[in-house]
Amino acid sequence: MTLLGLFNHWAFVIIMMVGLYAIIARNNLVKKILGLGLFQTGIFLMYITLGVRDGAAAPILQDDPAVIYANPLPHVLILTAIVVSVSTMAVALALAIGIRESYGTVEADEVAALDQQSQEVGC
Amino acid sequence: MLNFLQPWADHFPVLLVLIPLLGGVLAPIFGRGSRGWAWAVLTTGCATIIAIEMLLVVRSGGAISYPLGGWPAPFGIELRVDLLSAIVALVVTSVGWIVTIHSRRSVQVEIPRDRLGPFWSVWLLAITGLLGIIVTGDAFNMYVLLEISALTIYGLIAMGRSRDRKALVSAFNYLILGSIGASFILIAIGLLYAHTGTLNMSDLHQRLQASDGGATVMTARAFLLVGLSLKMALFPLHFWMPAAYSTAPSAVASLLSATATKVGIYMAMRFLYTVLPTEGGALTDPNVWLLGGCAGAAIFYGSIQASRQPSLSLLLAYSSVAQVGYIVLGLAVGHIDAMTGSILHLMFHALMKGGLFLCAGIFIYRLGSNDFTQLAGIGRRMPWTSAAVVLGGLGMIGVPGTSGFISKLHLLRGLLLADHPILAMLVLLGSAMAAIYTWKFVEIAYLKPVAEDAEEIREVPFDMLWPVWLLIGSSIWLGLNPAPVVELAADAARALLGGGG
Repeated sequence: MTLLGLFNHWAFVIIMMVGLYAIIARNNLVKKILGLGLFQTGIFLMYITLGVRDGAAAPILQDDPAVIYANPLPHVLILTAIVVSVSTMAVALALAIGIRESYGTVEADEVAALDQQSQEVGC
Repeated sequence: MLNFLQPWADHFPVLLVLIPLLGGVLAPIFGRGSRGWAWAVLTTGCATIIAIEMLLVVRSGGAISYPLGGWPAPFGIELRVDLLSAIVALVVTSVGWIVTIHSRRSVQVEIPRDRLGPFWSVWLLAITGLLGIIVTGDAFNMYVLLEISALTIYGLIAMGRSRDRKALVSAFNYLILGSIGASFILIAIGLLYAHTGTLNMSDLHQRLQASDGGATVMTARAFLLVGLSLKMALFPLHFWMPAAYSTAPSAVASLLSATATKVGIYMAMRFLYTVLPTEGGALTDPNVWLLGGCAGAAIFYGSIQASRQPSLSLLLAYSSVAQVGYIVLGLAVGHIDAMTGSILHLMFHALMKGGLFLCAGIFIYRLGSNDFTQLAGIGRRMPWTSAAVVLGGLGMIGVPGTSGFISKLHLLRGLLLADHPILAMLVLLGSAMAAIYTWKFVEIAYLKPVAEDAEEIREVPFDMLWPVWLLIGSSIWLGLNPAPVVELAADAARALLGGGG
């Protein structure tokens, strides 16, 4: 296998790492959620690549046994994972809205500072 | 077996998931009052009865395999219940049931009234996801159920916002970390599928065992170890857990500590021993050192942190970090006695920590918080609850006569027989440090005077107390009559280490 033959794998790892970097480095909670979305999209690409075969057609039943077709199972699996990812994003955004309502900000460091303050007042 | 259940016996694995699922979907119909709670109690109660019957069936007739929709494995999705899954299912349903019974009053205080209907719905769906993970025999199916339980748990934790707005932040952080962990598990499942072309767990195990492994399997193993460690809060990936458990509504904290972390550990046992290739039924050395090292550090770090926390909830949460360490230690070394100890500790810790978190919730119910400044002299004002905390703490230490002693005894024997004296020392050290943090509570509750400006408070009503005493009492009773449970755990451990289930 040549280096370029693994192009999709390189792409999925790079997309994932960009997402992971955004989760760690971004201060804004919504940007963190976007990073998480990017991270999971990288995984979708990996699963889609798993089903690919050279010169394969769409997996539709045909009479000709010589027709090779892409493996549909990883694609079906990733359809489920996409649904899961969308629901995760929805819950994450709902939590971000809640944080905005009770703290008045969606910046992680400001939220932490507000928590610190209320703790000092509490003691 | 109960006679009327006989015709359903073949369908127990799927019923165990279907009943809480239907219960969860129907729960909002019952509205905001006590009827929603009664429905949740009924649903979890039915699930518990099925889990008991299922354990009896598996005990007498061996593992159950249930082809979902009639499609035979490995093509269709298989539900597979062996002794270990039956045990964990019983722990989850029974402790979940008792916690549900207990939480009628505390939930009414801590959850806003207009959220009560959805609360019980999400509660039951979380239990559905956890039970699904336990019974499924299909790797991808396990990922989906893991996300179902995780999404509902994020929601449950966030419902603590009306008591403490930090709940939102800790739920958000848990969501980010939990999703990364689950995504790592998803990558690993994809790699294993790419290598073998199957998703059925026992089929995966056979094919992986026959193949030479190679880079794909090794990468998958690395992703799995990190993802599972995040999910079960193994040190150093534990930091979401104390924040989440201390800010969640108290009923949710007891449910999670007793069931969710246990299911994470169950997944680790499943993947490491019955999916990934093993070396004659044991893990290879690098795995043992990695897991054992993390677990040892977890015991040490968790116990130290627990003794310096400002509130009972945080103390219990850090103590859970340490207890996860004990269980992982037993599952890492792969000796039959250590694995028995690990499974026993999984059961006993669910009883003890579930009960202890219920006590922490009782203090919140009466005092509004369980900071140690508020708890001074509480032993004289709320004697029954405080006594339960002390007894549970003794179980954490592993005093002879409590069930914690039995599990740690097996763990120690396994560690010594498997030639890991340093890890065995850590177990003993951890027990000594558990004595320190238990004593901290005793000192505050019984030796400190009651603050003079403290309001008059009474012990909580009997219907909140008896579930606590049922949990703590049964952990003591099992410590005095351990033989049947030990035998059960040993059989489960033997099946696990024998490869396959």
